[in-house]
Amino acid sequence: MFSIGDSVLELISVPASSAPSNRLGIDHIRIAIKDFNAETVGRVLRERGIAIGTVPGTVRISDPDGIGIELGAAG
Amino acid sequence: MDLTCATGSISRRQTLLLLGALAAARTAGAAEPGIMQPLSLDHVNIRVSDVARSAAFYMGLFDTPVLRNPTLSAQPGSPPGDGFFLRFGDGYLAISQALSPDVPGLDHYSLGLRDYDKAKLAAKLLENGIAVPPRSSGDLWLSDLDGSLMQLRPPGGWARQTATPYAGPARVGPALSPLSMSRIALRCADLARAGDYYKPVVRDRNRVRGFQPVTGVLDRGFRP
Repeated sequence: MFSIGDSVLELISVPASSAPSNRLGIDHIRIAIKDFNAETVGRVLRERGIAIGTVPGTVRISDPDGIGIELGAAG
Repeated sequence: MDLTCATGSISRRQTLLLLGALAAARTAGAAEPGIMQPLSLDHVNIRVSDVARSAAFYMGLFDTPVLRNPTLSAQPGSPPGDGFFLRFGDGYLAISQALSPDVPGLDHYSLGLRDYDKAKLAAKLLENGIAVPPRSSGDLWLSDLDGSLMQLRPPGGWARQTATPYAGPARVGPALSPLSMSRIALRCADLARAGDYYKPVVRDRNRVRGFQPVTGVLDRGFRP
């Protein structure tokens, strides 16, 4: 990981044999949310029919093209 | 002069020695200046299969200002098309159309640099063996080893946006208030090589976390 000001650039390895869906390029972006609460955010998203995944302290979704969005607290 | 602490007092000479040692330690621990000094993740430009659909998705989630440019060229030379911009703190997400045979994904990401000077930076990059393809733009564009395109520019890109505020139908129920775009994660074919590429490029005094190789192929990758 590299720090870019207050943000982070993360590199993730993908094997050459990986499926096209695991292509090079963007894996995900993380967006810091004001007053983030994983349970509340998860509920809001589920109510909208958006599939979510959770990693402790974050909520993960995919946009309509499968680009990953990670939601979490600032810092 | 003496400094008193819980264990007693130390002399002026001891104080000077202590201060010298602290300064040396600080110098030894400081990161060397990198080729450039990134201050911010200015923006990320994604290409999507349906701009209207993706814009509706993001606008429906995030309570944040939105701009629109119906003739956006994501990068110099790109054909113009519909584009949206969502503000995330000091940065923003740009959404533009994936053009056949392109697939959805990253068009480019942009770093805001301290003391940005295009000519000086291009020369410095070249000195370090990094070629800068010529482009008709005030910004510099670099492609990393895996083809991820990086735009280099002064910070504050949102304030320089000339796109107009989105004037479409009222947005229904955006629920999340974004503070910032705090991370971009990129997939690369060879983590060690990619790390070696980025180390000198983005190293600066802000680089406090250092480069941490991620093992376990894609087990850190995104799984919603």
